[in-house]
Amino acid sequence: MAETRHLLEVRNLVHEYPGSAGKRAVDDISFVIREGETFGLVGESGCGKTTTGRMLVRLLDITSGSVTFDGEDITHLKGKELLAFRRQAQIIFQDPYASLDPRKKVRDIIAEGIDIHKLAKDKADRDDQVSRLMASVGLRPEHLTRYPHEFSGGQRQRIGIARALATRPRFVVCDEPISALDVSIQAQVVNLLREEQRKRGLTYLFIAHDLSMVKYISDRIAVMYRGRIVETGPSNLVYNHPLHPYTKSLISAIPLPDPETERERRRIPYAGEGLEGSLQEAESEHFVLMK
Amino acid sequence: MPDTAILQVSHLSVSFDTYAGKVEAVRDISFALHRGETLALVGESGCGKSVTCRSIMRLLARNANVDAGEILFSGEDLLKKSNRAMRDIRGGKIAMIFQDPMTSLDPTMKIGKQIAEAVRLHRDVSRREANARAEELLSLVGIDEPTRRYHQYPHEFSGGQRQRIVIAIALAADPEILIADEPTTALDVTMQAQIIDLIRDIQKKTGTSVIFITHDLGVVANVADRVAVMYAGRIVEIGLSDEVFYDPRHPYTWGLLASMPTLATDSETLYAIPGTPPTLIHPAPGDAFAPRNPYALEADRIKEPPLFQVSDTHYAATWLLDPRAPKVYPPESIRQRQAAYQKRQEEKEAREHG
Ligand SMILES: Nc1ncnc2c1ncn2[C@@H]1O[C@H](COP(=O)(O)OP(=O)(O)OP(=O)(O)O)[C@@H](O)[C@H]1O
Ligand SMILES: Nc1ncnc2c1ncn2[C@@H]1O[C@H](COP(=O)(O)OP(=O)(O)OP(=O)(O)O)[C@@H](O)[C@H]1O
Ligand SMILES: [Mg+2]
Ligand SMILES: [Mg+2]
Repeated sequence: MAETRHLLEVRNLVHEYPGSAGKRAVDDISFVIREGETFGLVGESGCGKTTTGRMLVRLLDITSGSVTFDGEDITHLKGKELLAFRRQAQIIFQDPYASLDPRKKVRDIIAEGIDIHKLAKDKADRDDQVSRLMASVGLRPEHLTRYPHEFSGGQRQRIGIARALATRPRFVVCDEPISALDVSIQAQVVNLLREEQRKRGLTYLFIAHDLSMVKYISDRIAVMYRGRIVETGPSNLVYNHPLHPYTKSLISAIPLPDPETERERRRIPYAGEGLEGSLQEAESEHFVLMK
Repeated sequence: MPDTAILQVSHLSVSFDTYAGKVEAVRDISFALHRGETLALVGESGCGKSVTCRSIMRLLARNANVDAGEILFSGEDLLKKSNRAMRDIRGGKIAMIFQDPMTSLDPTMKIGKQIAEAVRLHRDVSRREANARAEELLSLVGIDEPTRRYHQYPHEFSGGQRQRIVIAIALAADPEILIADEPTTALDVTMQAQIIDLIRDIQKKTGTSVIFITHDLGVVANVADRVAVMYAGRIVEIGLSDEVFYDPRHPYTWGLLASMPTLATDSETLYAIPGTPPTLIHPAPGDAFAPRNPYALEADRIKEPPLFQVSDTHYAATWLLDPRAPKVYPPESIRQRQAAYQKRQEEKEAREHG
């Protein structure tokens, strides 16, 4: 991995949805993502993960704070420059169904980015690129001419992945890309994302709630709770040595494929403690929210 | 056990017409759902879990054909009911939580109203009571500030929050059968646990039977009384939860269990079942899993294996269970499961007798 080169630097990022009565969906978060790494973002439903991801690829306005990409401030990019940035920064959407145009055939959905950014030499090249993307996410050639509603949930998710990879981006926000998939295809997709990363030095923001998978795929993790980051650090440290009570609770609830363990499971409850103060370094590179 | 069945699916086959040909999505499946139990339906993406459940609800896409079968609910075949009769059953006696939360919410209606309407549809209560119940359901599914959020529209919620709103709507009617299609996939583990506890609570109070679709075997281990494993439109193994987790017999089930990352997983590459899911257009004869199955026998490639009986409650469709089949050892991780389970069973017995 290219030594500590920062591909993204996120400073004091805030998002407030209109009409949310002063409540911030994302409330002053800062972190960096290194070139070539996978940065995992986990946390409870509604804590602001998707909101963060969408701001980073500029699909959602940044209320305040700043984001730099490869040294360039992208907080307020517009027009042509924004378009050029979008080719490099893609997103795999959380809700696969809502994000696929129901009137388009899958072949054309996957080629969307290729068309917008004119990445194919000719029609044969376009078809060829699409077919290869389809195969790499485990879809079959006969699926090319189908419409989104003719797919199962997990198949739709994979269409979204193929579409995001089509523009050969440098950075991809993966918003719960595998939670709709069964374990075996999860493993396939995770292995695929990793392979792409190895081949092209891709950088990921990987949003998920499945901690065991996040730990497995991420180099570093940030844990969010109600719009804030409560803990961040190398995945192994966060996972094996959680410091914040919310992280501890989250880890104690991971279900295991073992009925006996499940019957005897003890979850650590979390009652909202430890939310004051600022992120402080508890051990090397491992930060926790503390007074 | 059989006479407690509230739902009996027999020899159901469903196909779709597409440009590329006829997709045989569900092929001759049979199972019973017993009163008060939770049956989990697991299997890889595209194997036919949602189509099976949509057939029960009679909500299949326009290009679908039910080619054969019978779905008995309280002794009557749902496949023969009029559209009107089905409308009354849906959301009332049988409720379904759909996999895509956005498609089952009305984007133009405040979510509180959507839940209240579901309450009123099946219960004779005043508008005020329905509103109060809707707010209560919102907080039961873990939505903070229900009074404020009651007045928001679906797009103003996060992915997991929408999923929980859909759950609230399904629960509004106190159904006899709840079909939950990946109800917790978009949720973090703590929220997931809360929702599962909620479903279980309601189940205890009202005796609801649940069909729970999920690919998360951890969740299955937590919720299911019985498990049915599907592959390429067929049920390849079905049994009590303990039987399927600790004494699985179908090589596909072995593969599924082996590809779960455990807390200890640290290796570079996760185990993934080799190969790709089979085509459902003119599916090959024999066991559809055979081409990806290192344990496949010649017979598995040629002839469809029947469901062999392993115990009163446990069946698996693989020729490995035929008495003539050679003895095969499952992968190491599965043998560990079997051994650990056997040891626990023996200890339990010793405790009971000693
Ligand atoms: N368009 C919107 N208008 C108002 N509030 C919104 C909107 N979108 C999201 N929110 C709220 O902002 C908060 C953060 O939402 P976000 O989608 O970022 O959560 P998330 O962490 O991705 O959750 P999940 O795991 O459930 O997808 C939530 O409380 C949500 O209800
Ligand atoms: N309307 C349709 N037209 C054509 N094929 C369809 C249609 N609906 C579903 N299928 C196909 O039928 C098969 C079964 O789909 P189903 O939705 O039941 O899968 P699933 O087991 O629920 O998968 P997932 O876990 O991904 O949701 C899939 O291969 C799918 O592509
Ligand atoms: Mg989200
Ligand atoms: Mg499905």
